[in-house]
Amino acid sequence: MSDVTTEGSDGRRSIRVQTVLYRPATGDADRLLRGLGESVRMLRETTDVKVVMAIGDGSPTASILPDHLEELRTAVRPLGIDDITYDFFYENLGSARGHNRLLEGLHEDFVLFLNPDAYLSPFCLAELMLLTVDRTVGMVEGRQIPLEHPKAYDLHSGDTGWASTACALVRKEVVHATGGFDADSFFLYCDDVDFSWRTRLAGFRVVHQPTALLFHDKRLTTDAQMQVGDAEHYYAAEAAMMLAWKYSRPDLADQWASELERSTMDLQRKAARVFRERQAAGTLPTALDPDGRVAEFIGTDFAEHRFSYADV
Amino acid sequence: MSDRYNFGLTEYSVYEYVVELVRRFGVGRGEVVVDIGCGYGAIAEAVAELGLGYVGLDLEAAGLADLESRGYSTAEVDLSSPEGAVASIDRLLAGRSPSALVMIDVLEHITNGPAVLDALSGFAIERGGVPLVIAVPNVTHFDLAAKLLLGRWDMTETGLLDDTHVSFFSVDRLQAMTGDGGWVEIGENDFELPISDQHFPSDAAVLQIGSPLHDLLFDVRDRSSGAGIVNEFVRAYAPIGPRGEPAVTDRGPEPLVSVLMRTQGKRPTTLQEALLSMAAQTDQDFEVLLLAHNVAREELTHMRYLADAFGAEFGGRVRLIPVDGGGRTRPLSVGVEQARGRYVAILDDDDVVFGHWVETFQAMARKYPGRVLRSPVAEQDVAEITWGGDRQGYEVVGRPRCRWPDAFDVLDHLWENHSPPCGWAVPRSIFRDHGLQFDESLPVLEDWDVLMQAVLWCGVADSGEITALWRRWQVGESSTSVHTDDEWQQARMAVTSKLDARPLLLPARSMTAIQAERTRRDIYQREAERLQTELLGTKHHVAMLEQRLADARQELEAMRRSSSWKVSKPVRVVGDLARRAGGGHGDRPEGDG
Repeated sequence: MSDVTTEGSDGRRSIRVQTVLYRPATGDADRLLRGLGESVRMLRETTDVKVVMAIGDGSPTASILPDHLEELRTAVRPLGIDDITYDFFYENLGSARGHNRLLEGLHEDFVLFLNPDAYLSPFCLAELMLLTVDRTVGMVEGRQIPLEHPKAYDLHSGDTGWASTACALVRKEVVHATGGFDADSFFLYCDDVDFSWRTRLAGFRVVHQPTALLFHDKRLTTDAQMQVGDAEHYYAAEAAMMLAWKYSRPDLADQWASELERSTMDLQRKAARVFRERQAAGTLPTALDPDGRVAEFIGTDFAEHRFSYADV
Repeated sequence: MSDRYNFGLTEYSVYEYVVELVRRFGVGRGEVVVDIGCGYGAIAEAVAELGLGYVGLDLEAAGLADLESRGYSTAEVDLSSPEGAVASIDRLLAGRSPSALVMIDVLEHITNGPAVLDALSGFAIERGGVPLVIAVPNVTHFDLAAKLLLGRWDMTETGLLDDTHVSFFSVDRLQAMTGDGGWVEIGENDFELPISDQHFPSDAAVLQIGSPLHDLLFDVRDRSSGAGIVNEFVRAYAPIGPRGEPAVTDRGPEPLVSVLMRTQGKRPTTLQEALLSMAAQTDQDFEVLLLAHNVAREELTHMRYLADAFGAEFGGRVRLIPVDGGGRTRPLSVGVEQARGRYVAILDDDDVVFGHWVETFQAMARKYPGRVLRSPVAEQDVAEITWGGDRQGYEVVGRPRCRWPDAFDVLDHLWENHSPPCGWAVPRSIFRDHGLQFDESLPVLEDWDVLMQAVLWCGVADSGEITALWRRWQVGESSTSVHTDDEWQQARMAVTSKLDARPLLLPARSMTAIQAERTRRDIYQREAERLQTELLGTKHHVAMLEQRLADARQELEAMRRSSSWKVSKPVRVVGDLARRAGGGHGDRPEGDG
């Protein structure tokens, strides 16, 4: 990404909300905008802030048609979202590259990354903004329901190892300092872990705000396991190896690759094979954080967890 | 007309009930009771005993002649002309003031009831608001309902199905007709006959009190609109004149689900989450009844603000209803009364639902209308904590678990509840039409009570998909921590007693399920008997070994005390030392000599 400026155009604080669609469920976009709109309205009751939204779409066909887009704009404008731009990518860029594409030309003070299947509490944005008063805070994430992320956080300060971009507010200086997501290494998963760790390496804090609520439409299988799709089996495996490599744990990357090579799942074996190919070609990312200042590898987690969704 | 209607006023008859209402509403307000359609004037003497005059009007001369012979004024009246009838009444009164109008067994014989009632209302208003006492047979008596199930409709010469009846009344129809005719009910003294004149054939199981079929059906009838044993509705009315157009309170079509959300305002964070999970539903066909139980006024204001913060459209579907007093069941009772949805569901303020909770109910309701809609629920442990040093919060401390089965099993549920309230919705009809209520006397298990009664009548549709998350408070107040074991036990007994009080209606294939249970029990019993026998044998064997051991010890002791044992001690000591030096047999018990 490029062309990151550092000031809002009219002196007011400004937020750009970004989401990347890929074959969204019917009604997802409307629901997202409904929740976001009310959250913006509530924020603007106490804060003079300009909000715009950017939607990127990597679906095979456009998920939002012009008439629908105009309806959405009309619905949210009175709530304080001045404009919605819609960028049809004509290809599936993944979340990292998709967000980077939308970040081009960023001039707002903050970016709110949102998943398309999220629904913000009306108080979410205001609660996220509360923590940005502290200039050391570079990235604030909301708390997801009904399935809360198990990642540990400091109950007093909110400090946490990394933040999920299912809903995370990021200072523009962070975008500037990090250059956005590492889309060459991460397609769909762990792009936010990497982004968080680089945010911390750049000297900013990453915090969890438990009072900033969002509904993230995750569901459980009949035996109370998280529902996981094929894409997650592949990209999560690929991302884990990539993350270990990038954060100076080649031993771990190699161990995981070896385990995945023996997996019974084709997709996981394929992820290991692709990793090995990149390793052989020398196209893996440059290693960071050699002293392990920010990166944590605890089992297969990237932070201390309070509990595990995995079957125990 | 024959003298088929020449009934006297017996000690237990509808006439006695009519006279009681005349005494209550007519005495002291006029001079004469006007008996319209009086027949033979069964109440005339009883009215006279109240110190009131009596006049009778009828179309049939025989009854009037009989009354005249007893000294009462009468007039012929034809109710097919309401205005003419009013004129006849006026003439018959000859300036005397009416204390009450009476119509016993009249409305069911005429086809222009509304017009007659309307004309009488005008007459009654002109004379200062004369009350009207009406008696009509109840066509919804249990005996008639039960016989319809046998395909029987037995017209008789007199009684509930008098073959001259041209109009039939339920309590609702009577209320509607009198209301349209310009009358408002002011008193009720219904005449009840558990065994009516239609109680035949008397050997039909459906009519036999104590037969399971009768008791089940009677329970259905009794808990619905009531009046199952009312033989005649006996009601008193005051005239109010023509009714205006009803006020239009259009609140749109009834939603699929009314969500009863109990809150005491103690957990604002989880309340926000519960509302958020509703606002985020993929199907918005619901209303939320936010039942604020014993909540202070300022907290109510905050709750309204919270609901409205989700936007005007959602806020408009959240009704904040203050509920004062009573236990934890009271809000549910109030909620059911105010619910408008086709189904009623419960989501307490500390639980949360997945995005397809309503969507799943919708799909099941479409496929299985009228059944209890049920989805399995996951359980998750949470604990109260403080955020940022001063904000009340909580944290999740464990992964979701499946504690309850995917599919509903009625026999298992008779033993204990396996379906937390956030996992099901019951048709509102079960409350509206079948008289089911949340039992406010139950401190806990009120959900199990309603679920079981609803399930036994409606059946269940299972989605098999987890759609809700029930929170178990490891740290913090919950029904488990607030209520004692005794309260839980007593509530369980109360629910059981209620189910015991009536026949159970089990779903198809219950026979096989019960037989399977019985077979399992028999197997376990046989196994228990086998193990018991084995245990007895083992005990016997142990006792025998213990006896041998005791005998051996006795012999050993005797031997040690013998002189030869003492003499040989040096030899044994040398032997022990040799064994220790050799390092072998280290596990052999050492001698004590």
